[in-house]
Amino acid sequence: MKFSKKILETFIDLPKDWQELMEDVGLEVKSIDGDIINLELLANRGDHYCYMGLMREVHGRNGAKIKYDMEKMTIPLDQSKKPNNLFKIETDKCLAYSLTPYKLSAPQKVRQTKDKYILDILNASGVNVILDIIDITNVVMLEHGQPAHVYDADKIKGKIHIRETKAGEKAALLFHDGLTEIPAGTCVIADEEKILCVAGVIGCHGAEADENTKNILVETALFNPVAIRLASRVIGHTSIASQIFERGGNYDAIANGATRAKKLYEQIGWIQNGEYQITPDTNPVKTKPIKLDGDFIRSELEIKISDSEIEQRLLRYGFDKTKNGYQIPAWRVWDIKGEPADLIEELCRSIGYNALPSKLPPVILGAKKTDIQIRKSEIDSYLVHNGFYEVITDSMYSPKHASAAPNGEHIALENSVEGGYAFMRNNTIVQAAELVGKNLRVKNREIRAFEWGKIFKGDKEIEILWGVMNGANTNALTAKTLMENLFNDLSLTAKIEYDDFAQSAKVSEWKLLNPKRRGRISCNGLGVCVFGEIHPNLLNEFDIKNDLPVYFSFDTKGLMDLASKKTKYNSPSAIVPSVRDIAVAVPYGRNTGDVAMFINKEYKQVADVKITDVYDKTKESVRNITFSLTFAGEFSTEELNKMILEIMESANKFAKK
Amino acid sequence: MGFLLVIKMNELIKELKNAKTPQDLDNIKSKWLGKKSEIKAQMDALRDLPADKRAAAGAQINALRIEYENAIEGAKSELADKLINDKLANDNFDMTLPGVGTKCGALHPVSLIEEKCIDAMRRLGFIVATGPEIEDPKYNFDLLDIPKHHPARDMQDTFWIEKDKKLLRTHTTSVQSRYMMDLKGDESKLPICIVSPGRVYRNEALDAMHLAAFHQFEGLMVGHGIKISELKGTIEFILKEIYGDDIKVRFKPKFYPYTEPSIGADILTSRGWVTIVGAGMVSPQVLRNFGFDPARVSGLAFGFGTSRLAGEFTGANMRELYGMDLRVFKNIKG
Repeated sequence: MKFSKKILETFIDLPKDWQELMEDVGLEVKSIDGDIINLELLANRGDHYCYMGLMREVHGRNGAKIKYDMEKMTIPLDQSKKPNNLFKIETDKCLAYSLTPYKLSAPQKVRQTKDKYILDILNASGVNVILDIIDITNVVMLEHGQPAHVYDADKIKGKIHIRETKAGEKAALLFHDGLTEIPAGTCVIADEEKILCVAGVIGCHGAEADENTKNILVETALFNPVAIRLASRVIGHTSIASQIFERGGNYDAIANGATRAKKLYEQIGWIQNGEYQITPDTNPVKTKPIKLDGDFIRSELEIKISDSEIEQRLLRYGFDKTKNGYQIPAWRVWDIKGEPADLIEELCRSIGYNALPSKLPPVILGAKKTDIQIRKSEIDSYLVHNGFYEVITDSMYSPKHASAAPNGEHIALENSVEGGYAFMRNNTIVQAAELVGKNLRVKNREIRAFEWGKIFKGDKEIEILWGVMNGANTNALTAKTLMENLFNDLSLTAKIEYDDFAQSAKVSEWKLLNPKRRGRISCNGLGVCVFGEIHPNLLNEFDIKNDLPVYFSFDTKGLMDLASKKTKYNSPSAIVPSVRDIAVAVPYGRNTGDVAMFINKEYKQVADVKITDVYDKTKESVRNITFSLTFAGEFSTEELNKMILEIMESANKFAKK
Repeated sequence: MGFLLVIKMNELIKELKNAKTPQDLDNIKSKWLGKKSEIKAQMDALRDLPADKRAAAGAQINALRIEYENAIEGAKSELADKLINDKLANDNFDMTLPGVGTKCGALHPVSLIEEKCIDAMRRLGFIVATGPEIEDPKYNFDLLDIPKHHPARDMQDTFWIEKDKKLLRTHTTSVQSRYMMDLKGDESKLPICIVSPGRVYRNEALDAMHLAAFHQFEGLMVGHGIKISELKGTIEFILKEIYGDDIKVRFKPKFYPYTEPSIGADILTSRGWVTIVGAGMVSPQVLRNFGFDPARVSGLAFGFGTSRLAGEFTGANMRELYGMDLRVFKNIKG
């Protein structure tokens, strides 16, 4: 909120380092433009929205002389001793209410504000200059923090009612075209016929003051903060007044503001025309005094401070010391709850947090990394060293993403302001395809990305690690090696399955992988990973035509829970192994891995089988595979040759089955 | 024979000079020292000399053989050097071509900041606590003294999954709520020291500076006799870990519904003082909400946005950091 420094200095002396002081008490100086200072006010302090609030804060801090003279600036009101007859309160959303009638003492034609002080104070805070009788209400608000409202008394029909709206009720709001329906239960000021004002938020046409107004009623009141907040939100109108009321007004200022208004009205030729009427209870927010022990303060703040200094500092903030403790000032009843901690906070602000001691808490022993943290670091390191970049993608996505998802069940967001965030994601493969599509569009084909994130299914949040890779030398087999090496790196025994398996909710992505180019990895019987090329149907959704990106996804919990296998060291054999190659024609449709397993299983002499070359004979629908066999033990050349022939024959026969 | 041998030596040297390949040298060696060489013939002829002259003649031939051998080995060595030098000179390999193989990727800047903070806080005995992102308002708001319709809820525009029943957490303080709730007011389990890094959500319109989801890092210490001085000390510690020992830190009042006093910590940057940390002593009412007596138990809490720090350190804006364009991360890595 913007203030004039010169005007603030008419309320209190400011030190040379005033800016530092402001920030030290929580009034952050966002900018200074000549005389205008723009302050970021504390979110819970309605009392800061006025010059007196700033004055009190500076005084509380340094005890500087207060220059604002209430006696000179106000005129006492002629107050009624009888029950009021001007208004009737019909809702508990209005906590206190007052009206002062005025009349114009002599005829006037032009009622534009000419007073330099009034123009300065309004302009500094960006408040519109309208008419002198209206401008005065804004001066009262900016000086005292008491929003005020002026009505043309001659336009009011009957008595004023402070009441709640009924269903379907409409009002002609200022700055709005036509009539606006006001939600039922909103606190309004109304006469017998119409709504005159939405309490604390915005005035209405019908009783507004204008250049012909001759009799007015000036309102100062206090409303329930929550009621004002809700009304302000529903109507979509925020003002300085509504911001003050939302945070809680100052009940002392109801009458004080009215006396200040009287002074200002008299200056422009208006005189009180009837008794000032106010609700009987002028202290509607009951609080108890806060008991405070000096030793407690000294112990908590760890500073030397006398009881009298504590008292002086609290009195400067407006606390009143009573035999039962410190009474909370009228402008602080909303943010001070009545705890000793409240007073500690006041003293901290008064002394300055930077003047308080600082030390580290006692540490007995630093914590160590957990097994999960260690494993996560290992996986991070592995992926990064294999060229992967970690990304953070949205946990929410659009209806388009949802319709492409493998499982249609989504958690929907009720009130998203962004249409792109309609659902919580229940998979990451759709975003993987999107990521590839986005990077291909900017000519980045070499893609390796991963994310630790969550997917949301039913009542469950499932932690996953997912990744996607694409590029000239990337395909499902590259991913397979990557996965195998990762499990090896983590000392986990992995089993890869290629055929379809019973799907659990965790791996619905399986459906969006190419059925011929996908695998599932399990450890100790527990499925922890699926991987494979993304299904062409999904790639089409993101306009990916010529690339075959590979996706992988881990159930993080499963991965983290697995215990590393215990490795047993075996010395390498002293015998130089014999290695021989064989060629096997594997028809399309037959898995090469099955042939390798057949050789390994059937021939105990073969210690290892490697596939060293693949040649596709497309026309014959056959794949020529070169297997490199390592034999365990010592064999003569003749024995080896005989075995090779036998293996080759049986392997080819097996492949053709 | 001596003169003849000298002439022969010159002849050998001439042949050696003409040799182009190791094979040429092997042929020369065979010719001059092999079974059919002249020197072998002369050695064989020694047996026909008188016994008294045989030793002297033998020594002379042997000396000559050694000279031949030295000359040939010398030539071999020279040729080997020459061949290597020629090969090196003719090598057209271009080392300026890009390296072959996979280049390293990188962790996300937010993860790097998080890890740094976790490592630092671990040294003070803090452990990592986690919790759900879809949260009960009880943990996100109510237990933290943010009742329904409280203006503080405006500070954190909320994604509702089910109005007033289920939301996307607006801060990781909800993790601390759950952790505290699990203690059931049992003071024997104190002190607790936890950090809760993670993703949080705000339902607001997107721009380069604002996202619907970002990352926070919060810490909580609850125990007996925890003071404001320790809150300040802990914040200074973490800020120095992040920004270095020379960083200047100042504190100022702030408002958070669940702490009292509430403070903010600024650091001095080239742009002036910038608020980084929101913090405070756990408010007495919040302690009561979790079953602890504020007369005996106190706590400190702090938090900051790791997304924002990552943005400041890398120069990337929020949308870039949370986007899918991998060029951003390659460029950040440099």
